[in-house]
Amino acid sequence: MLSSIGSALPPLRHLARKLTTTAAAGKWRIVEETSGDTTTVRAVETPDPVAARQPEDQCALCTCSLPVKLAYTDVLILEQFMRPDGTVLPRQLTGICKSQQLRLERCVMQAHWAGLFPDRTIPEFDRAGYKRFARHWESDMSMYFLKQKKENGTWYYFKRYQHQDDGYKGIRAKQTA
Amino acid sequence: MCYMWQQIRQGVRWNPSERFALACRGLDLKKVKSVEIAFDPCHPDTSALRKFWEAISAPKVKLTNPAVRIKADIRNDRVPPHFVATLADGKKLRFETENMHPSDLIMRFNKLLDNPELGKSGTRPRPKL
Repeated sequence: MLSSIGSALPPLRHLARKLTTTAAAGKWRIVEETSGDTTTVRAVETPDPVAARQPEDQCALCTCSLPVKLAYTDVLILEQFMRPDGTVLPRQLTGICKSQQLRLERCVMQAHWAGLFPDRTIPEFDRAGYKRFARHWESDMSMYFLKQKKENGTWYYFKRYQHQDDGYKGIRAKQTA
Repeated sequence: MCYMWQQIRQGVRWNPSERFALACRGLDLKKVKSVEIAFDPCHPDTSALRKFWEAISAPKVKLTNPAVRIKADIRNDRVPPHFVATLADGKKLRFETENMHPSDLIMRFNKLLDNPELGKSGTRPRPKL
């Protein structure tokens, strides 16, 4: 029995503890194969073309040499962090820092309100009443500082112009006279 | 606030244990006749298979099909962890679970059984007192 075990053993390198290296670690993809009535599902290693992230790297939005901050008008940048249905990718996938991720979400929301993503909205997007108009935003935080504009004036109607029939009293005046 | 903001926040959520729990909620073994699990306990990567075994043995999953036979074969010949699920119509699904994430494994299992990959989130509806 021992000899049969020795001949069927896989190589021992598979049992060695995996050491962490700075080389690009492979990613595993699940692959299905059907033969007859048996479907085999296994994980196949695919090499990752992007190198592993070093701890001193800055996030993708921080290293941009643009002097201005991300705004809702930077649609081409925002699109790269979005899914086809209009939602934003998680931070663990894109590798952005937390503050940039929050700013990105705010800018994506503002761009949705401004109508800059006609192909990427959900059908339940609220476009009733005044919300059907595109909006303009000063900065990315302005969605938290919305103000109601006050119109000074009255709601009563004052007649401005005199009409020639304005002095006419009607049938009652004729009867009393 | 508004529905689009909710959708954005849901798309941003990345919680592997939450996704695993939702995948377990979507487990439905109606089409499965038996599951034969085989692994070597000293193999370095059996965590996905062990979690799958635990998920299958849960009471709620067993209630979906009480007639499923789960057979676990613990070997000592350094075989890579795998399981074979025999369906009611005679087909077989063989999963080589080495290097797989448990939630990916369960989602793929659900997909091959024509079930939705993730179950419904939230508490179950309860009668109002």
